[in-house]
Amino acid sequence: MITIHSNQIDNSPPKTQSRPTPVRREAGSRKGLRFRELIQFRELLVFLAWRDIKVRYKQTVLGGLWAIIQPLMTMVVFSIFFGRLAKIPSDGIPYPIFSYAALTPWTLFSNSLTKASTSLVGNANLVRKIYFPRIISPIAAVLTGAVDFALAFIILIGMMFAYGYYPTWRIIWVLPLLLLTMLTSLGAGLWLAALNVTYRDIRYIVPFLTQIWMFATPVAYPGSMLDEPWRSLYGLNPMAGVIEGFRWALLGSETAAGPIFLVSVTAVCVMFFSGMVYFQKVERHFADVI
Amino acid sequence: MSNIAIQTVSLSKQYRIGAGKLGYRTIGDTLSTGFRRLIHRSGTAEVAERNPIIWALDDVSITCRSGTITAIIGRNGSGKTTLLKILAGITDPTRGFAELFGRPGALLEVGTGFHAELTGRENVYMNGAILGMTRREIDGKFDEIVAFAEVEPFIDTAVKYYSSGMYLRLAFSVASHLEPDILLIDEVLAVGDAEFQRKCIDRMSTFSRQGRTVLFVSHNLAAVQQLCTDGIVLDHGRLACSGTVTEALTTYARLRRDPDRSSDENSSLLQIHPLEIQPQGSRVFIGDPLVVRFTVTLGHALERTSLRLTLRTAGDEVIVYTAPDLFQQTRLIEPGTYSISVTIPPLWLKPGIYDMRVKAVAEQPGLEKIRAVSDPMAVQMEHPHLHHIDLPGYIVPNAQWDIRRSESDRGEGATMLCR
Repeated sequence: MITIHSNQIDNSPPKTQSRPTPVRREAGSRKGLRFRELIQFRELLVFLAWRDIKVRYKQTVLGGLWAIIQPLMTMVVFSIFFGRLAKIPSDGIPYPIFSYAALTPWTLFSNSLTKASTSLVGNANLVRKIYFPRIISPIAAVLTGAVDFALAFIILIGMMFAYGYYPTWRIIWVLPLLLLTMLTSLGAGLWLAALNVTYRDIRYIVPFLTQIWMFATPVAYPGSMLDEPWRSLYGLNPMAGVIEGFRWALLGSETAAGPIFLVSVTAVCVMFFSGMVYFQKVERHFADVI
Repeated sequence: MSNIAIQTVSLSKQYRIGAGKLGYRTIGDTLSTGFRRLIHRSGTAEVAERNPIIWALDDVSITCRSGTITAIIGRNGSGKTTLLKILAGITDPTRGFAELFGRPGALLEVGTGFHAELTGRENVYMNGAILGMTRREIDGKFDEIVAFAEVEPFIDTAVKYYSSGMYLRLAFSVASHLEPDILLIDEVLAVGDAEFQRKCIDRMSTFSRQGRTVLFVSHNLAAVQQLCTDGIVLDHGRLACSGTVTEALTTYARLRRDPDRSSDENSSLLQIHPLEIQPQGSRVFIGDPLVVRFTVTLGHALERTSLRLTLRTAGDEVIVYTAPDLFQQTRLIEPGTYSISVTIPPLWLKPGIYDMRVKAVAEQPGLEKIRAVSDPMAVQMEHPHLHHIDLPGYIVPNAQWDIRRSESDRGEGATMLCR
């Protein structure tokens, strides 16, 4: 980025040393995925994410604890209703940790998705008044979810020790799984965020969507309840693969990755790139419509 | 061609008004329209009818040289902000293109991205990043920004506890430390007190002295006149004038209509015809008398018609008011055309552009008042030596200053006469 310091310029007009290429504004002048521009605006991305994190728990008594309470309370409710009363199998793993190991990535996913899809409208004022690659807004929303995840994950490790599941080398798989979760929420989030600019219906659809999506994901029940080939097909829901992966990496459940995981990765890629393309195609209208 | 900073060629921007600027707001709308389109072939025409098109900018070609401050003036909805938004890259033009030679920075609003829950310090960084400064740049200017805003003791307090003045000062301070080659500013003077506005104006003139280019949207014509060298007038999205600031202000004064006038349905009853200033046209030496001629037509016998003539500053403040007899009503009763000439003695108004209008009000017993206002006319007061930019106040009388040293000999020697 070029910066001109005032002392350098005070006395003489800026020299037109070989005129730089002008910035051009024209219909459709910004095309393609423009990763370079994204890099150029990385500081704004970090600042947006940082602002959301800073502001999120301001003026709350419990502050960051909310990041833990949310999955923890869900786990308690699940354990009582699904584990105790409905007696849903849990692959021989105690139900509380069985569900909490799934709820940690699931909470990350559903919160990121919700925040990403409302992020543009939430930042409407910025969209109307300044230029930045609009994609920064949903990306920042997804990044902030990762902080909550880190807090919830510490509790997960604690619970693992309490239940006698000691981490093995497999724990490193958490990282790629985390990345996959974020890409999934970003991929779906890009679609929803862009659609939400024009159709505010999205705001009402997202809560249903996450709820239905959760029941289509083995959070409260084991994936082993399904038989092949349905199980692999089930992987079309990337979160199914992620959650199976989490249980495998942390709790050593038998339901190891395999084909389901490959299907998931493919599904994520399709969702993410189609989201990118759609988003960048419509983003030039955002300021006019939002 | 030398040193062009901004150039636009046939820049046009189309909006649909009605159900959202671009079309539909809810999926239901889309579905129902799509469905209707399936049934009637004419669906598209119907959509177009429901969402009429407006051209917010229509074939606007302008050129700004670097180092100039150009004002964009025009009434609300004339496309000023749209032009800035296109130049800033916030929205794309529908047709045509613009080229900017240098790093642009846009300030469409003071305090974009300020968050009430964040502290002053945090907001400086946040807002700086939003305006396109790098972290290092903000680090370097942080103390300067805070000092300029005069909020040092509160810099670590959440801005929601700030007074609105402090908030505004801090927000403006961040923005004013932005150092782009081309600065695009939208109506920031509309907020803030006189002191704040003065700061804004100072900062902008510093900018252009540093060789940067400023494009400045404002309704504050006094500031425009004081600050700008060039002017662009937009009217319903079209370019009405592009030239010096004087030309622009004259065009704008002609475009501006008094709201009273348009609401008057009885216009055939009472009309005022064009003003004419004699003998020099609209340019007047500040120490010369002014003769204004116009005609008033009464379409009907009207009782008690009063006339008045006003001269306003560019800031729309009435500075000269005259009526045929300030304490009595004028005797224009019989229908017919009256030609009127007003001789105004030398006013010694500070050089600048003033807006002249004549207004007539007729009372009818038992009926509403009838009003008529002339087209405004720009009067340029001139003086060969005085420059309007630096003068305070309004009147520069031809005062005699008699200065002499008291101890010295009387009658001769150290006497000085100044005007």
